[in-house]
Amino acid sequence: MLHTSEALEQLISEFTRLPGIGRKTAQRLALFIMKRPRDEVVTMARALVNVKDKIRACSICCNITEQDPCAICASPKRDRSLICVVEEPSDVLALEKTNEFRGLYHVLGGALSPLDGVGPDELKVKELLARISAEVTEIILAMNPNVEGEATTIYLGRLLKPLGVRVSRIARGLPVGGDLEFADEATLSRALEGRITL
Amino acid sequence: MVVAGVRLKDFRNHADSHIEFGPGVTALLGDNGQGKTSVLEAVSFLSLTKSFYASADVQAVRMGTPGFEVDGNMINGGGSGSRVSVRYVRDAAEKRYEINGNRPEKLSAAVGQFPVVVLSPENSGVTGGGPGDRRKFIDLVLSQVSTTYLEVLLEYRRTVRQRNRLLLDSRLLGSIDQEKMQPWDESLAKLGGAITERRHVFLHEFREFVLDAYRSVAGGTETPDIHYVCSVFPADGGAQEISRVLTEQLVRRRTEEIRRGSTLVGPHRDDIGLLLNGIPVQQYASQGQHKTMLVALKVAEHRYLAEQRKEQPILLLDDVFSELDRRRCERILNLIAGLGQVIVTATDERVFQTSIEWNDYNRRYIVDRGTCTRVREA
Ligand SMILES: [Zn+2]
Repeated sequence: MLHTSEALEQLISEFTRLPGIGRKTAQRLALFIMKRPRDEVVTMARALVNVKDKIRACSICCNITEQDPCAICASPKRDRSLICVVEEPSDVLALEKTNEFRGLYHVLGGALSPLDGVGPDELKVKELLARISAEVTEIILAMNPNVEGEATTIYLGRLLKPLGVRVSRIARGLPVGGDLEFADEATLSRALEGRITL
Repeated sequence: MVVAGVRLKDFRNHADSHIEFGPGVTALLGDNGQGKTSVLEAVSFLSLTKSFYASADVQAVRMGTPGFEVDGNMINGGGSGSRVSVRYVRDAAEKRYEINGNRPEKLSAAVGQFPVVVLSPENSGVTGGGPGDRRKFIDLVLSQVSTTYLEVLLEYRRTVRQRNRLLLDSRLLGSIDQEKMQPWDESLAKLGGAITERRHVFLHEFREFVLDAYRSVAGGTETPDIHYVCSVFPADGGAQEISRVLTEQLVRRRTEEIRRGSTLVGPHRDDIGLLLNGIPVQQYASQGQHKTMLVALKVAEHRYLAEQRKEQPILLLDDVFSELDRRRCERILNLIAGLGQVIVTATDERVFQTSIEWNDYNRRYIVDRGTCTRVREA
């Protein structure tokens, strides 16, 4: 059923674009927003736009950031000889929560998946290769424990090994088919500790 | 394992049916199309998270309703019960599977918790159909024994799909990027080796069960046999050795794979050899022999699962007696009477006459236009 207000109808259809939101939920969200005070809604709208305007990719690690380079890449406290390669920014968050890893990150922006049209050129692979220098002694591959993460690990392993850098992968202590993002901190710490040299 | 009762809400032609199963045989009687099989399907949903028929979940939703619900109470050999429910919502195309109100993280983790063995007309492909039907049969047995096997199998299938896409892309481009292909070759060989080895080992163990079950169904006149037919590797081998051979074959058949746009090497191309007196069972014309072999495989599956899981599976028999003579029906009924809980559909209840006595242990239900009514025994 369509609503009598075009503005409300438009908001509902915008909400349905969000992952996991069907028409019914979108309708509930839209009606909720309609009832909130104006300044609250303005703050929310601004937050949405800010995400687009202020956030960019770190020119070193490709993670999302407001300043370039990002806080991790800019920090003098981080061990610059270690780079941990992950799929998504959310994986950096998950690993940071363990307080275990003191090196730098590299965010690929996904994993190899021909079915989704994602090959090496669609990932930040060139950017990773550009970071390999005498300073870097080990690259840790921390992809999701699924088919696509595995293929990405194999691909990067073959690419990096000839460059004379130690390449390791986090131990598969993670549940098969799971996401790094959803693994608990203890599991992630164990996986980092038990990493295997490729 | 027994299912104490099941409730079907807006499932197939059942608006709201409730059935209390006996611990022995429960017969669902009625004409075709009344909803007997749906009751077995509902139990299959509780155990395998899906129907044993290759049909989409949405097709089980009763016409004109938003979704179906199946609830049941599963009681294991130790006497502890689990409330299992499956809800499917048509609009959201969402299936919610819960055990005691909790959703398992993945559906694959739930398969095998409540072991079940199904014999339905759908299975006739195991003896009469192609290699795919036979692979499906052993994959389902192994999945109920080992969650790891099911997970490796799902990963393997996904790898094949990813790889096929690359092969199709290569065909369109007219060239192949070896570097892009390599990770998928390596994954396929590694997972494929693990699956092949596990299937080999399984069939070695399972063979004894099949020989034994066949004797009890058919008597001692015919000798059956079963073995794994690996498409690339003639002898048994360890996972690593099989992976190595798979890798070689992938390289050798690269051009052909690109031309066909699909993966031609791996356990998804293997078969299971079924023999009767040394001759492949597919070449036997007799319907009776096919059915006997099928029943033997299912009885073997039941006994194998019972031994592995230390738990008797629930046995679901759909329309088993239709092509068999009276003597074989009786043999089968005498055999299944010792297999724990059995739920069986039949159009003619006379097949049970000489073998089953109806009481609280063995029950009868009449299924008529989506309604189930228990027959009160005198
Ligand atoms: Zn950075």
